[in-house]
Amino acid sequence: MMEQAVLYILAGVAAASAIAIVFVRHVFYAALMLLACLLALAGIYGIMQAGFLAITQVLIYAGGVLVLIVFAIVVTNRVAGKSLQVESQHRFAGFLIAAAIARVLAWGYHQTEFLVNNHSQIGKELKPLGETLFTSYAAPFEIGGVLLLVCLVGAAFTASSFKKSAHD
Amino acid sequence: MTDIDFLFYLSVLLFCCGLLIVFTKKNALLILMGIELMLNAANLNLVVFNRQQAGLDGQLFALFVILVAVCEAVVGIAIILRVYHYYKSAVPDRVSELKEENR
Repeated sequence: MMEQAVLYILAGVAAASAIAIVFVRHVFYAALMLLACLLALAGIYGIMQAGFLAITQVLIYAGGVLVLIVFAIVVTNRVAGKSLQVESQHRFAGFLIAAAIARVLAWGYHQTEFLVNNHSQIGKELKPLGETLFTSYAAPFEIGGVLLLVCLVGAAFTASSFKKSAHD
Repeated sequence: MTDIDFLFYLSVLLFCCGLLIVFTKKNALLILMGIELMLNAANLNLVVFNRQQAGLDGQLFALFVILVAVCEAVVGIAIILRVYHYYKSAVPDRVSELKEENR
């Protein structure tokens, strides 16, 4: 029962902060809302017996990607000295498309019959996870490592050597 | 309404918020944040439905989704920084040409 209450609170935080990103007008506040949403999702992962994923979410998303986004906000708004306000466009059409896709997703969910059997694996999901990762998922794991390396090199190359500007 | 239904609708809400952000916002960084939100909505589904079966395939898929999302965010931010230095703007609509004109 306690778990249920925490789950609902975390889901409320995630939903509220996701909706707030849509309406907030300041880029930095949007980044903070995204941080709140990601941390709440990490809590939900923890309750859903995916402890390793919860820790990964906190370390990589909240610790890595969000810091990167905040750095990018600071850098891209310092050069021009403009304010951090963001304009919106096509609000009504965007809302219609999002609502239509939500309806389609809910319809598909109701059309599908899921096997509901609750496999509780509290406290013993970490060892099978590591074993599966290094046996049947070894090839995607290695390819993922190569992908990270390529991304690192590509991003460093893309972001370095600023020489030309359209306004020079 | 069970927990599974509830979390599925939460994930639909997150996905549609991300989609709305991508459609409406006029800042490349916010568009990137919307994409992250959509990927997280998919991850939430993977984790929740993983609980319904014996294996751990859903969690592993979510792990790989996180990996690819990180790569995408890094490369996206690098491209945004580069475009910003050239155009002095992070608004995608103003970035109309990718190749430099011969002047």
